[in-house]
Amino acid sequence: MLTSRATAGAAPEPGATSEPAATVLEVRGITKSFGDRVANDHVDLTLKAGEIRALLGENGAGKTTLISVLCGQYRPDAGTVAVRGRPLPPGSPRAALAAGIGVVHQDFRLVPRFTVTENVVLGTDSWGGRKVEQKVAEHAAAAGFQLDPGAPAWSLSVGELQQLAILKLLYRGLDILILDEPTAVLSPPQAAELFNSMRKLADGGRSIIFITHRLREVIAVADEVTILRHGKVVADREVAGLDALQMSVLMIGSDAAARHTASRAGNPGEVVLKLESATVEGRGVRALDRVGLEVRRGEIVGVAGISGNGQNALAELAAGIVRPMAGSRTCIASAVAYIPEARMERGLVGAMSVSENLSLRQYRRPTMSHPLWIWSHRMTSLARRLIEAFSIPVKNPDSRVADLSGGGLQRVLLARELDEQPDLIIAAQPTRGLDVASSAMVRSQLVGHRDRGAGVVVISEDLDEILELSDRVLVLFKGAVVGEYSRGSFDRAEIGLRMGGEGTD
Amino acid sequence: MTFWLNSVSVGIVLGTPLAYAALGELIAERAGVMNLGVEGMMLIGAVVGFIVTVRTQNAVLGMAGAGVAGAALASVHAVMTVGLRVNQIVMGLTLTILGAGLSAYLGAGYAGRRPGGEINAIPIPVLSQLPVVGSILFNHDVFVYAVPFIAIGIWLLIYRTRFGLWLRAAGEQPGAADASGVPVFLIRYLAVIVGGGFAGLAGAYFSVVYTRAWAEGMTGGRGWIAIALVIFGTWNPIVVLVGALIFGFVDGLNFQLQSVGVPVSSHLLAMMPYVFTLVVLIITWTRLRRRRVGMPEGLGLPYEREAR
Repeated sequence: MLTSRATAGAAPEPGATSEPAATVLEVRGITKSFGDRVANDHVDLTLKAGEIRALLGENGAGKTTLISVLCGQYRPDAGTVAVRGRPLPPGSPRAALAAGIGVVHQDFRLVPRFTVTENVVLGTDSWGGRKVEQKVAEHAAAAGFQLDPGAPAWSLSVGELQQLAILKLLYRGLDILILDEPTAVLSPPQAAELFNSMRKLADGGRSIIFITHRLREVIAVADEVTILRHGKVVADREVAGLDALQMSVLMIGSDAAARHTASRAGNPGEVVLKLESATVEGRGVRALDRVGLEVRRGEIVGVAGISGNGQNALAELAAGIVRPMAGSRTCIASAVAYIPEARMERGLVGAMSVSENLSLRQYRRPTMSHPLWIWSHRMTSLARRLIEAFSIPVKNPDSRVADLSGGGLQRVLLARELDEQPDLIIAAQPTRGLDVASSAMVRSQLVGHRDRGAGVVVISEDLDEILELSDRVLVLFKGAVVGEYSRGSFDRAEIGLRMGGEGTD
Repeated sequence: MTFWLNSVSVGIVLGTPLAYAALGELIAERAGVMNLGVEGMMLIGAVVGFIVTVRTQNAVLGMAGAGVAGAALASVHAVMTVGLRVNQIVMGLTLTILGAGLSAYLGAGYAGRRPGGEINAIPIPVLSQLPVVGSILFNHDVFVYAVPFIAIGIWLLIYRTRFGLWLRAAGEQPGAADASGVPVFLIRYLAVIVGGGFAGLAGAYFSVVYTRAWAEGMTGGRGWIAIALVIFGTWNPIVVLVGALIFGFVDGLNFQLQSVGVPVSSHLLAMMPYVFTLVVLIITWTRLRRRRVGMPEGLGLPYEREAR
């Protein structure tokens, strides 16, 4: 593909005035496409010593692609990366490391079966051993991390894994640190602690690129911000003087009000789902511990919590997929909609077409099929109606569902599950990874069905989303409900503490 | 008494090629590449080793040729699975079929011939004179003597060197290894090719050292047992070696029982090692499922850097 400078420069240059701090990283005109999708379109970025730069953008804006280029994982189609004036050979993780660029990936990229020490030294010329363990312990102490150098990585908590991933970079003496959505898996207090560490590292002369889509965090910790939209830089400026609304307009590109479906309070009626001290165990681990939950018609119950605290078990229990080992589940709903967290694995059949996926709940009805066959034209007309109603981005109902983007998948799932006007809706991480338009659609659908009289359970890691949608909020920690709040008495700080297992009664 | 002594001694000899093949497979699997072509590589090693020995009248050259032949076949596997990311299971099965066919073709004129060169037992002075253990343990050829040192050497390589750390990382989490600057592809290539060399040696041990003859399909499924041994040994070279010797013993028992004329069908006796494999696999697998050690997490999964 021929790359041409289509737009007139990506962003206004932030004044060529001489700065005291030296430029450590200079990115010019990075372009990277996957098929016909341009993930990065002539992206420019500069980073100075001791600076924390936020890289802000929606899911799919090209943040992860850009850092994959920076760390040599991807080879860009065009553009250059220079570290302290020296160009970096493209597509070489080793060269990026040698130049001082280190990334803490969202998934940390650690080896679970390796010890802390082995993970830290992997890729250096050492293999571990007593002396090296000692050195690793010293580096950990210097950074203020409490990590046992001999502990296997699988035994660490998420916060500790993140410290380990950062320690790995510090041990190598890397001074350009890139953190890819580091707060996605942290509770608010853990995130605050991370911000402290980041500030300390920056004060020590290291430069940090910090990727997020949360405006609050940009304001909390970053000096400068680069905003990406559809793979292009739309802003590159100081954070001071920017407010959240301005940033969100830049990030989303339209009126930020789209984000706020701003639900009014619901109008609770009879109880459709009741869990009483329900306990679920899986593989010898107690996933849910005596959970009580009541969902009424016309209300949204939000379940806040960090992933891995029993959300999966709760979702499947509420949806009636698993039975409680102890306690009870009572449900009077005649139709239950389940929007699982793992859309592709548990929600849809990737190899089947959009129209087949859309028919999965209804194919046995006499309107759709005869005991011996399915009327495919009726299936297609159902699909056409739902594609229209849910703006599913697909031209042909027969195209494979696996080829859709995250937002498209969720629309298919939503269309199929909600078309029957269910009395109970269980939605797990319903907007994770979606673009703004799809997220807004998901939220307004959930609110709309609540107003129609359905009971809705929303399980989400995104506290802002929970607070915005819910009539009641439960906090889940280690499989137990550790807090319950009603609309009007939401306390963001306290809920955040409880998500991290703190804040006692 | 002599019956058992003979069984143990034969078991050691029969266990040795299994150990070589299994240790080779272990190296490849530790790097994350499953190579089900062990049987094919053994057969190629057996035939090439035999041909080279016949042609040169030198068994050492024959063994070396077998190692190279096994490695060459393995490099096909490496190119296909590591480079082109072909499904490892399909490719491994293909390799076995290819090895069986190719070895039969190459060895067509060699059945019934004598190798002309030999690898003889070297009794170890003093030790071989010890009562009982002397004849069992210290009257073997150099490949038998070497195998415990090789197993320990591989253990040290895996757990006590930088290369070993990189090897394990490539097999566990290739993405993490790559991000850390470990040359994942190079390591996977190397591991598969070295592993193939071991399988080639194992095959030639049968044709050049042990039976001193070539026959089509002469490894008789022992390549598959070697693969099972790696699982049985939970990817630990020491345990794999012990397992190989136990299997060798069971295998040898079959011959010994036949020679003393046990009134059981020889076909049933010949099944023993395979039945034993089945039992051991069931036991190991239930054990594995309960523990956090064992199978490399990236085993069988092709690694692609720009996968999205």
